[in-house]
Formats: sequence, structure tokens, C-alpha cells
Amino acid sequence: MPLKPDSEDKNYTCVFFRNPFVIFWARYEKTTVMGACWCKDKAPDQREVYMPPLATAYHAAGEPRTRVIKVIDSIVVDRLVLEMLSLIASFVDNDEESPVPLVKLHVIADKEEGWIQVVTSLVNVIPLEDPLGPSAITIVFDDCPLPSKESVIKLTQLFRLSKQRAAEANLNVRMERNICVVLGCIAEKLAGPNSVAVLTEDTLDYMLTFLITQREPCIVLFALIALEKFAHTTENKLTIKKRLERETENPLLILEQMANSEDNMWRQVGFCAQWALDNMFTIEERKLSYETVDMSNINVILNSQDVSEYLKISCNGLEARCDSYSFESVRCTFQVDDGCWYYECVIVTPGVMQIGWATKNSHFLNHEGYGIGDDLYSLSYDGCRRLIWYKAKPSSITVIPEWQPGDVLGCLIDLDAREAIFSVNGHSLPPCREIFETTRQGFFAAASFMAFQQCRFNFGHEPFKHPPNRTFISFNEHGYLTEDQKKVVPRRIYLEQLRCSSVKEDSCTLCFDDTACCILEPCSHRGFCSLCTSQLKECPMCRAAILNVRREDT
Amino acid sequence: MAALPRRIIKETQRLMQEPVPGISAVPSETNARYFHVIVTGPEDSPFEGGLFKLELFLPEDYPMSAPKVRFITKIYHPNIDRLGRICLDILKDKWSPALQIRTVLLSIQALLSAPNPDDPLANDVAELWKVNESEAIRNAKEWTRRYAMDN
Repeated sequence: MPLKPDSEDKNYTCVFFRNPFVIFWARYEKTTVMGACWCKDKAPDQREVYMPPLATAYHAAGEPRTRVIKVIDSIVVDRLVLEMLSLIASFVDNDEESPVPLVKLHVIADKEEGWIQVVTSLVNVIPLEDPLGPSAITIVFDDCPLPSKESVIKLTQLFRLSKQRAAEANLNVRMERNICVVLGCIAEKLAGPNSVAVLTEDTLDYMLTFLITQREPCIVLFALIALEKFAHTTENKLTIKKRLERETENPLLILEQMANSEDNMWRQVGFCAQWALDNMFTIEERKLSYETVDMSNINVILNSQDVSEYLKISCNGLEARCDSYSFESVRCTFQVDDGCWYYECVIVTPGVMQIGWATKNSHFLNHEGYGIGDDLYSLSYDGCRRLIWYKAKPSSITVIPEWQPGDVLGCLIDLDAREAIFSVNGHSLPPCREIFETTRQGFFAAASFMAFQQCRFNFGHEPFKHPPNRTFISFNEHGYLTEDQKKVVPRRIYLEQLRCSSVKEDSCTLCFDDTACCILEPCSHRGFCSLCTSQLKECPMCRAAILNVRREDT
Repeated sequence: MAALPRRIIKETQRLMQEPVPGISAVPSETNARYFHVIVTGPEDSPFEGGLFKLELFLPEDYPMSAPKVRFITKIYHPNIDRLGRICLDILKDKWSPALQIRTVLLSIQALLSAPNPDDPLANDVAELWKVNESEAIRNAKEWTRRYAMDN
């Protein structure tokens, strides 16, 4: 069984966990937050705010800085934000640390001025080069109270978001990138009428102006992601679509051409533009990418039926990306049971991904923050934090540096020798053997992604960069997919197909998938299939204990 | 996460076709397991006039385990804490797979009508609710006005 937060505890069963480190956060809350420290009479007070030592000053003294009305000295908030960022990077153990900075930021953001101040700090100090910067912004947002639409509008005015600002030649790349990340978070939090209210003409102009190839790709990328998140609300989607169509050439069509770029930043822009064109901002005369992509020599892909719900998969099924808070996972289509197999993964973004092997017993608990390597049935390497994960326990790797965009992760599994070996750019890490004590077969290539992370897989359809020096086979040599299985259909079309399917009269009243055939005894309630019944301890109708199950046909 | 169970599709269709009075639950366009929920504050409760936003998520093993629900709009209520988490038995040990999204949302609406300070989640709120109910109700009305009413 996968590890799960203690679900019996009433104090935190309802929280949505969205990040790999949420488990420790939940445990922390259980012990501390639910106690006295959140009481009203201990409202935030400047004297109480913890001031961690400031390791690095990220903004030079002369740099322009947006000022807000002071509630708490902005330096204090900046420090909390940076402390929070370093905490995500160093956090590995679920039990040890308490995210004091996050708690403090939550307290500060509880008031409108405080919220604006926290967001301003995020924009001002999250460094461009930190691979976890954008993820850190989503984590703070997810934890802080929901802003009112007035606060958001105040914020956009404070930053003077407009076409002019976005067209500025000498803009501060870091700040604009961070503003775009923040806009995406706001859009996600305020889905519905409020999302429509905060998407003012100026804010929309600001984001759209960035969608050009002459801009720094990191700004283009996050402007595009923010637009996509605003488009989760249908009214916004129509507004944005109309605006895109008004241009002489739809900017997404130009950006889409970057999907195969060798530059990893532009590649991400291309990926997101293509995904948006297939899923969000569709154009009638444009064929969907899966209808035009050449799949002739591809025999193994990421399985679009075996993936957690927010992961984006490219039209050829070999590249994946996550833009949500949750820890998204996927398995490939091909299973290996014996012999020695190898695949490679090109790292597109340098943040947290856990890439490796999983059997079907491994669950994707994306909202709880569990992924590949977090249970008994999967094993993974995270080259950002340099950790091999098995059973949610990390082993630290120090012999190689953190992975960088363009690096090649090699994943070898030798089921006869019972070892799995990861390598980065051909440099092998120590073999992993523990997983084979419980699991000997049924492995799939698999990976989990933190927010804004992306990588692409090579299962052997093109030559490997660093083939291992033992005899191995590639998935692509042995895999087979039908023409239908090769189609990576956009999720909305897949859901539409599902909705059209009908339900039979005699189907199970719990799942509606299988035929109802069981009668529970002694209460005699019926209408359940055998799969559902096998998971029940008491009757769903009357809560009577189930002592026996009788099949209707006997 | 394999294919979406028919159960979820069927429940969604019914929620759309026969909505529960005072409650709107709309599935996310990109994730059929995630619902944007708005609950209207019940009449004759301190929450009257407010529109409360919640998020509801159907976990992988739904309906064998309960939906995860939390308030996104801030609310002053003894059984709902500052992070929006709800203390409600059917969301925990009293869950039954025969219950549905609509029954869960109805129970939450009922919880707004009848706060239960003897089984608190937000201790400070519950305390005040017990020792000085009228002040607690005043606070609840004030929070409703401040956080749950547009303009």
C-alpha cells in the first residue's frame, strides 16, 4: 500500500495536499497549527515575526522596487520568502522540519495589505535562476488565504500591468517572469466570476504582449501559462480566444513552432503553445497535433490512460509537462518482466522530477504529493535534489552535480541481476537492489513532475546518447501499439467520448461500471458488483456488518 | 488513474441537469474529478446573503473513500477552520459509498444552518460560540459580509 497521511485524523483529512513536501506540512499543522497558535488573540504582530538570517540579497540596492503600504518591514517578508525557497530545496525528510516561514507568510497574508505585501515580495525576490522559484510561488499561493478580487485589482494597478509595461525594452526579466507566475496562481485560485472580474483589459494586454519570439522565453512561457489558467473559466477563454484571433497571425501558431527547439526554454514555450492550441484555444481550420504527427517508428509512448489528471503529454506521447500544483505522474505503455532494459530521458527543466520505474501497484496520489519512488512498488531518481527515492525514503547522491537542462538521465533495469542503475550523462550511480526484494516483474518506465517541470523520453526510437555497457534491449524494439493506441487524444475529447457512453439498467449502483450481482447478508441489500463488494466492510445502505456475500445467480 | 468511472460521469450529469437549490457544483473543464462549488448561505443563519466558494475533489478510490472538500471563502464557523477544512462525520468515518456529491453538499449546507460548537474544529470560534453566542453570531455575520458578499 502507498503511504498515506493518517486519514483517520479529523484535523486534516480535508486539506488538499499538492506538493511533494506537503506531508510534512500536514504533520506540522496537526501538531501545531491546530493548537493555540492560530487563535485570534494571537494575531500577527511585528514583534512576533521570526527573522531568519538573510543568506543572499537577491535584489541589488539600486534596482527598482515596487513599494506598498507597510504593515511589516518588507525586508522581513523578503527574508521569509527566501527562507521558504531554501526550505523547499533542502526539504527531504517528512518528519524533521517545520515550515515556520510558510506559517508566518500565511499570517501576514491574512490581511489585504499583508497579502499584497507577500505577493510583492515574491515578485521582487524570487531569483530567476533558482529551478524551484516558480514552484515556490505556487506553494505560497496555495497556502495563503484566498485574495478578494479587490486585492487582486489593487495589485495589478500597483504593478501598473499594461501593454506599455510589457512592451518596455529594458524590463526586469525576473520581476516580469514572477508577475506572470503570480497571475497564473491568481487565475487558478479565483476560477469563476472573480477570475473574469480580475482579467481586466490592461492585465490581458500585459500577458498577450509577451507572446512574441523577440521576448525572453521565460517571460513568454509564464505569460502563456497564466493565460491558460485564466481560460479555465469559460468566459475568459472566449475573451482570450477572440483576442488571439484578432491578431494578423495567431501568436500561438508562431510559438508552437518552437516545440522541437534545441533551446530548452523555447522548447517549453512551444510545448505549452501546442498544448493550448489542442486543448484550450482551438482554431477551426487547424488540425489537432495528434492527427498530423508522424508516429511511424514509435512503438512505446507515455500512456495517456495511465496518468494523473493534470499532466500534459505531447502529441507524440514522448514528452510530458506539469503546470499544476499537484505532483503529477505517468507510466509508459510497455511492461517489462525479465531481461535487461534501458531508456533515456532528456531533462528539459532542472526542477524536481522523480523518474524511474513503477509497477501497476504504485498509485498516483498526486494531490497527496506522492509519486514514483514513494511506495514499495516504484523507484526513482530526482536529479534536482540528487536523491534516489524508494518507499518515500531518499538516499542522497553526492558524486554528480544537480541535473541541468539538456542532461540525459539513463534508466537501466536488469531483472535477471535484480538491479536498477540510474546514470546522468553516462555517469552511473550506485545500483539499487532493495525494490527487487518485494517486486520482480511488471515494471513500466514512469515519472512524477512538480509544477512547471518537463522532460522527454527516448524509449529507443532514436539512438541512445549514453548506452550502458552491458547487453540490453530497448522498449521500442519490442513494443507494439495499434493506430488507435498511438493517438494522444486531448483530454476534453476523451471526456466527451466518455460522457456519450450510456449506463446499463442492471449496473452496480456504486460504480455503474460492472453488473450488479451481489447480495449482502444478513441485511439483504443488493445492487453491487463483486469488485465494489470486495472493498466493503459494511453495507453502504444500512451500515450493517457484511457477514456473507451471495451471488444473485446462485 | 485509469479511465474515469461511470459513477462520476453520471453524478456530474445529474448535478448539471437537476442542480441542488442554493448550491452550484461545476466540474473543472480539464479535470472531471475537481469541482468548483458555490454554496449560498442558508436563510435565517448568520451566513445568509453570503456566497461561499468551496473546492471538491474526488480521490482516486472514490466512491470507496469520501470526496475531499474545503471552503475557499473564509468563514466564521465552529466546525470549519482557518484553512477551510470541515469537521463533518460523513466526510470521515461515517462515509458510505452510497452517499454522493449532492448529499455531501447538502450536509455542508445544513452544517451552516446548524453549527455544532460541541464538536469543534476551530477551537477559538467554538469557545466563543459556547460562552457568548450572540457575539459569535455577530462575528459570523461580519465575516460573511466581509468575505462572502461581492461588493
